[in-house]
Amino acid sequence: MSDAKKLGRRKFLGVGLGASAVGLASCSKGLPRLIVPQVKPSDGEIPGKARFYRSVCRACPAGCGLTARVREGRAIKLEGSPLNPIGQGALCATGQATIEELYSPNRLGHPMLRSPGGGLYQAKWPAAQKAFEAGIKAALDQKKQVVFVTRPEPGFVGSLFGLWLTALGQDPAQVVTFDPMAPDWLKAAAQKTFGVNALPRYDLSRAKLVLSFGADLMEDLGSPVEGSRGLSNLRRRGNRRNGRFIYVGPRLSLTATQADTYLSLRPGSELDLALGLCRQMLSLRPHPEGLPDGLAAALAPWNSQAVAASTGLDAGRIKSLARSIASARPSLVVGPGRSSVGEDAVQLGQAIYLLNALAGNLGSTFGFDAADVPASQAAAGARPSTALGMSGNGGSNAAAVNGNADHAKAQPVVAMAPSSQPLIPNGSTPLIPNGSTPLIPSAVEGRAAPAPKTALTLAELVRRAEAGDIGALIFHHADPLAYGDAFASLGKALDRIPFIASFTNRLDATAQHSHAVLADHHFLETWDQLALRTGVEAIQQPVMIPLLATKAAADVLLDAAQNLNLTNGLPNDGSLSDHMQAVLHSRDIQKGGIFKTAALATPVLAANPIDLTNQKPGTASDTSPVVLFPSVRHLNGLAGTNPLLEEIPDTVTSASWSGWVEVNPATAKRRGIETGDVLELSTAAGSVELAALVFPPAREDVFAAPLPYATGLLADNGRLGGRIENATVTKTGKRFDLVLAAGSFSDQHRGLVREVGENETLPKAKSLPTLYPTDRQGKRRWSLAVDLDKCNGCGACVAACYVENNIAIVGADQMRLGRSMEWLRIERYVEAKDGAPSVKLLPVMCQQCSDAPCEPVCPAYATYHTDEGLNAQVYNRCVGTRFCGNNCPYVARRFNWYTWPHESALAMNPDVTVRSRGVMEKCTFCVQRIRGAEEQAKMEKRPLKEGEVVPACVGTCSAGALVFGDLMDENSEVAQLSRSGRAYHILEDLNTRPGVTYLARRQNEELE
Amino acid sequence: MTPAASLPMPAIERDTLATFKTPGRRYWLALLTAAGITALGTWTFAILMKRGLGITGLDEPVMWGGLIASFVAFIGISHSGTLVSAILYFTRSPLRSSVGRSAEAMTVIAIMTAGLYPLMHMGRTWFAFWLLPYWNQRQLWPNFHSPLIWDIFAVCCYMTISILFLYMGMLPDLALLAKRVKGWRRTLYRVMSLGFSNTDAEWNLFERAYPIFAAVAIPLAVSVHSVVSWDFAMTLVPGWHSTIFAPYFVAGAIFSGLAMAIILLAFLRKGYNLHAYLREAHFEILAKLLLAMSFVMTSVYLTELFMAHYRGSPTEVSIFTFRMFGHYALVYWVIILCNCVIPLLVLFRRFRRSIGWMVFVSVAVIIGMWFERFMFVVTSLSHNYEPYGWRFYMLSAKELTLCLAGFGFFALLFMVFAKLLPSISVSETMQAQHAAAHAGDEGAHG
Repeated sequence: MSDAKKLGRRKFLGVGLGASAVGLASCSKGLPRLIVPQVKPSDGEIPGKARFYRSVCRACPAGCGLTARVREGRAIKLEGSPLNPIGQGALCATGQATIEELYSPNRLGHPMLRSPGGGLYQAKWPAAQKAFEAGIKAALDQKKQVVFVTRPEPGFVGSLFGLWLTALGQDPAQVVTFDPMAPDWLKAAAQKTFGVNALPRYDLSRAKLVLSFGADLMEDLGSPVEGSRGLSNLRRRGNRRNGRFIYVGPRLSLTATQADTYLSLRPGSELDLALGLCRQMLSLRPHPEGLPDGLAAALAPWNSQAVAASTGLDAGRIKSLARSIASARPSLVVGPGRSSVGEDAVQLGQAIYLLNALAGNLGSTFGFDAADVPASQAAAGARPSTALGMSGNGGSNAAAVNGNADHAKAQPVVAMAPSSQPLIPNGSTPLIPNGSTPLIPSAVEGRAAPAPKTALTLAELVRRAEAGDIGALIFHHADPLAYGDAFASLGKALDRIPFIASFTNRLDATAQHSHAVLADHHFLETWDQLALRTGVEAIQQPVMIPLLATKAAADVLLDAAQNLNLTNGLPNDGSLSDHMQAVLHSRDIQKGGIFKTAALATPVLAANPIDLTNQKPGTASDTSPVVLFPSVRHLNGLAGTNPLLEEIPDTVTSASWSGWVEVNPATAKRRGIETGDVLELSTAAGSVELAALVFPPAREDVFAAPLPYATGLLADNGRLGGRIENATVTKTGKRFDLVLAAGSFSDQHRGLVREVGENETLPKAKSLPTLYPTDRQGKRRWSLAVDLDKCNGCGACVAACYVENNIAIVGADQMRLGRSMEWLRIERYVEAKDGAPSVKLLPVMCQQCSDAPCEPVCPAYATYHTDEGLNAQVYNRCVGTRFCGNNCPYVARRFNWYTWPHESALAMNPDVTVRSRGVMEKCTFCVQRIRGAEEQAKMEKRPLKEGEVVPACVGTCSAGALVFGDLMDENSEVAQLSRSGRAYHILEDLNTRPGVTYLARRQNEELE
Repeated sequence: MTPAASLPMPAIERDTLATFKTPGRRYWLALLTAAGITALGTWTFAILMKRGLGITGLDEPVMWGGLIASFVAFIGISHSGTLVSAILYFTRSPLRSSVGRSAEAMTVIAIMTAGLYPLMHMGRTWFAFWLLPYWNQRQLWPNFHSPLIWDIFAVCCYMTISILFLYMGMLPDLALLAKRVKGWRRTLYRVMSLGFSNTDAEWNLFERAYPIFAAVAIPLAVSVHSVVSWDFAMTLVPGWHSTIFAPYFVAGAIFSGLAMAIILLAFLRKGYNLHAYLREAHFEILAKLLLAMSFVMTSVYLTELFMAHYRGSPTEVSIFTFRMFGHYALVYWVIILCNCVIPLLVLFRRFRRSIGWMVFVSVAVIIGMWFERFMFVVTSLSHNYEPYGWRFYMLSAKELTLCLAGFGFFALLFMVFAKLLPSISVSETMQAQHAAAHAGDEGAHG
C-alpha cells in the first residue's frame, strides 16, 4: 500500500471533521452544539476581537439606536448608540434583555404549516413559501381582500406591505397597525382638542415644572429611555436645579417615586383636578388666543372646594399646585397615563391638553411632530428641540419629512448625555452578510420609503372579516390573541378567514391560530429603515448571519410576488438585503441612521376644545376600583416572554416572576388579607387570581395590579390597563409564595440612602483610625460614582450586567430561596414622610473596597486586591467556603449553588468565564472591558484615556447616574465627584474604604 | 473515693476486660441503627457532591447554616475529652481512671466527625487540599490571614495531640490485652502495643512522657476552640464580631463536652455493668462541673446583650433584638431553657445523683448547644447590615439528615471503639487501687 492510500492521522481527522460538519449542517433542529474555530477566518474577522455594528432596537416602538457587539459572528451584547437622538447611547432594561430572545430556545427556527388534521407541523421553506402563495392566490382568485396586521412599521418594510398589496391589485390601505400599548386615548383627545390625530410630544428639557397625571414616562407611553433621561435632567442639569416634577395618580409607580411631590388622589377624580386647575389657570394666567367664550362659565363648578372634595386632596395644595404651574415658565402637563385613565380617558386627555394651552405651554414644551400637524396649523415659530416623543406608530412618514424639511433646521445632532461615551474605539464596520457584496452608495441622503397608510382599524378589520370579505390575513409580529380577551372579537373573526399567515419569532398565541407560521429573522438579523419621527431616520442592519432557518418577511413577500407574477411597483433589485444595500449609504449605516433636529409643531386649539355639558365635579365614592398599571419590564404589556426580564425584580415592589395585587395595610387588616394570599379580581370581562402584596404606599381605595399579569381582566375592544370600576376582590383562601427580593421595606434608619438640601453638603465623614496602611498606592484606582440624585431605578443597568457577565437566570423557585445571582441590584426602601410615601433607591454592587473584608478571610486567595484597586475574584481558585460572602457587609457576593443552566451557549460573552457550581462570583467593574481597553491602548502605544473603559451598567444608564473612572487621576470626572460635598460611602463606619462613591440625593422640592 | 477501693485486682481486670466479650443483641441493634443513620448521611453526602450545595436551605446572605453549626457543635463536644482528662491527670484526680479513656476517645471521634462538615460545606470539596500548605509548582500557598487556615491548623494539631494522648495512654492496656485475648485481635493489640512489655524501665519512660502530652493538650484544647471562634469573631458580621467569642466558645465547648461525656459514661456504665467503677459520685462531680459551666454560659449570654447595647451600634442592637423576638425567637428561648434553666436541676441533690436525670439534662444541653451554634451562625447573617438583603434560612431535609448523621457517625465510631479498645483504663484503675491499698498501709502518701 502506498503512502498516499494510507488513512493517515491528518486524513482521518479531515474526513472525521468533515463528516461531523456535514452532520451538523444537516441538523435543522436547534442550535449547533459544537462551535468549531475557523482555521481560515472569514474576511476581516479576527478571532477574539469584537466588532461593533450600529442598528436600531425594535423591542418597543421607540426606536433607540443600538450598537451590537459581535464576537466571532455572534451578537453578544447590545449597547446604545450615542448618535441616535432617541436613545442617546442608552438602552432600557427591555432593550438590554432583547438579546436573550435572539438565542432563546423558544425562538421559532423553522416555518410551520397546518396539517389537514388541524395541527401545526414543522415544514421546510419551499413548502411554506408555496403554502403562503397558495393562500394568497386563493384570496385573489375569490376576489377577497388580503390584509396585514403589523406591529408599528414606520419604515421600508412597512411601506413594502402597501406596495405589495398594490402589486396584488389590493388597496394599499389594508394594513392595520397593531400597537396595543399605544395610548390611543391621547390620540383621540388630540383629535378633539386640536384636530390633530396624533400623539403629542413633550419637551422635558425646557420645562420648569412637569405635572404628570399618572403618566409613567419611564415605564409606558412609548419611549422609556427618553422618559428616564428627561426626568433625570429635569432634576438636575449641570450645576443647577432644572425643574420640578409633580405626579398625581392613584398608585405609586416607578415614575412617581421620582417625583418631588407625589399626590395620591382618589382614582377617577383626575378629570376634576385637571378641570379645577384649568379654572384656576384662567385667573392666574393671561388667556391664550382662540379661547372659546363659554369656557370660564363651563369651568365654574370646578372650584377648589368641589375639586378637593372629589379628589381627596387638600384645597390649599390644589391652589398651590395651580400657582406653581402658572408661575413656572414654561410648565408641562403630561398624561393621562395608563393608571389614571378610565371611561373618561379621552375627556381627561382633553382637559390636560386644555390645561397645557391655558398654562401657555403649546409650542414650547407641548406640541406635535411636525409631520402630524396639518400644514394649515403648522406654526412658523417652531424651534429645534430634544423633544420626548411618544410611540412612533405611523406618526411620521417620508412625505412629511420632505414636506416639512424647512422645519428641520440644520442643527448639530442632539447633544449626548454625559454617560454616553462612544463605545467604538476604532469605528464600526458595516456588515456584509454574504461577505462579498460591496455596498452600493446610491441612496439619496434623507430618503426613506413611504410608510403605510394606516387607514384600516382593527374594528373595521373585524367587521370585514365577519362579512366574509377577507380572504387572507397576514400577521406581522403582532400577537393580539395574547392579550386576554382584549381582542376577542378579532379572535372570533379569525374563524371566518380562510387563510391566516403569521410572521413571527415565536410560536405565539396568534401564530397558533395561523395556517402558515413563517419564522421571521430576529431584528438583529435583518434590514429595515425606519422613519421614526421628523428628522430621525434609523437604519436597522443585520449584525449577524441568521442563526436559524428563518426567512425575512420581506423576502417571503417579494418571492411570493415574483412567483405569482405580480411584481408591479415592487423593488426589483433582488432580496431585501440586496435592495437595502443598494439604496443605503455605507456612511449612514455606520452612523445607524440619518439624524437631524426637528422642531415641535405648535397645535391650535379647536373651536370647542372640551365639552362639559351637563357635567359637574364628582363626589367621593367607595367603589374600590382595580388599577392595571404598566410595567417597565414588560413594555409590550405581555409577561413571560423574556426570562431575564422576569427575573429582574420590579424596582418599587421588588417582586419578580409573577404578578401581584398591591393592597394597603389598612385594607388588608380590615379584610384579613396577608401578603401571599391569593385574591380573585373579577370584572364583567373576566377574572384573574393574583397574590396579594401588602404595600404601605398603596391607597386604601385601590387594588393595583401590573397589567402584564392581569390580562384576564381585559374586556373585548377595551383599553389595555387603567382603571376598571366595579371590580370585586375576593380572597380565595389559596396561598402563593410571592418572589420578593427585599428583606425589609425600611432601611432601619441605617442611613444607607442619604439626602442633602439644595446647595448643602454632607457633614464631613470622620477619618477613622485604621491599623492598615492607608497610602497603599497602586497604578490605578478604578472607581464608580453613583449619583442617587439621578438614579431612577429603571433597572437597565441590572439587565446590562446580566447580559455582559453571563449571569445565570435562576428562576422563581431559586429566587424564592434567595439565590438570585444579580451582581448589581437596586435596593429600595420605603418611608412614610408626613403620611406621604417616599421611596429611596440605592443601586448596590461590589464596592471594590480598599480594605475589603472579603479578602483576608478567603483561605485560598481566590479573592485578592489588584494594583488597580479591584477586588479580583479568581473563579478557578475558589473552593467555595463562602467566608467572603458572609463577611461582605454589602451582600454583594453571589454563590453558585448549582451549575446553573444557561439557555444558550451562543449568547455567552466569551470574555467572561461561565461559572460552575461551588464558586463565588461578584461584580468586577467589568474587568474584561478594563483589560480590553488597556490592551487596545497598549497596542496603540498610548496611555489609557479617561472614558475609554465603560462598564456595562454605566454604558446603558439613560439617567447618567453612573460615572466610572480612575480615582487616582485627579482630573477625572469620578475623582471630582468623589470630592464633592454630596459624596459618601455606604456603611462608612465599617472603614472598608469602598471604591464606589454615592452622591447623596438632593431633597425634593416639595409643593408648599 | 477511689473507684474500686474495695475490689480485688483480678475482679478489676475481669470487669474492665468484660467489655471485650461478644456483644449482646442490644449492642448490635444500637450499632445497626447508628450504621443506618451513617449510611443515610453518606448517601446524602453523595447527593450533595453530585448536585451541589443547592440541596441545602442556604441562601444569600445566610451562606453558612446547619452544617457549620454541626461543625462547631462537634468541635465543642470534642473539647471536654482530652482537656478534662489532662486536667484530671495533673490534679491526680481519682476520677480520671474511670472516665479519662472514654473522654479522650470521645474527643478523637468528635473531631473526626466535625472534620467532615467543612468538607460537605465547601463548594468544591474536591479541591479541599488547596487549603493545605503544600509545595507546588505554582508557588500558591493558602492565605495565612484567613481564620479558616488557622482553623485547619488548630483542629489538626488538636486532633494529632488527642490521638497521641489517647494512644499513649492505651499502650499498657494494649499490652495487657494482647496476653488476654485470642485470634486476630491478639495480633492487632500486639502490633498496636508497640512491644510494650510492662518493664519498670518502660514504665519509667512512660510516666515521664505522658505528662508532656497532657501538658501540650491543655493549651491546645483552649486554643482550638478559640481559633474556631475566630472564624466568626474576625469577621465584620454583627453579632459575631466580638472579643468575648474565644472564652465564650471554650466555655460552651466544655459545657457541651461535659454533657456528651455524661451521656457516654452513663451508657458505658449500663451497657458494661461498670456500676462499681462509674459511681453516682463520679456523675455528681461531672454534674457540678456542668452546672458551673451553665452559669458561665448564662453570664456570657447576659454579657453579650449588655455589650450590644453598650456599644451602641444599631446593627448590633438590631441583631440581638432579632434573636430574642424575631423570626428565630423560638430557637433563642429553647437555648435559654436548655442551657440556662434545665441545668439548674443539678442544684438539687435528688437530680444530680440520679443518672437518668443527668442524662436528661445532658441531652438538653447537647440540643441547646447545637441550637446555640445554629442561632449565632444564622441570625447574624440573616439580619446583616443591608436590610434589603435580609432573608431567613431554614435547614432543608437533606441538610437536616447530614446534621443528624453526624450524631449517628459519632455513635457508630464510639460503639466500635468501646468494643475494640479498652474504654476504661485497666492499668490506671489498678494503679489507683494499688495506691489506695498503700495509702491504707502507710497512711498519708503523695
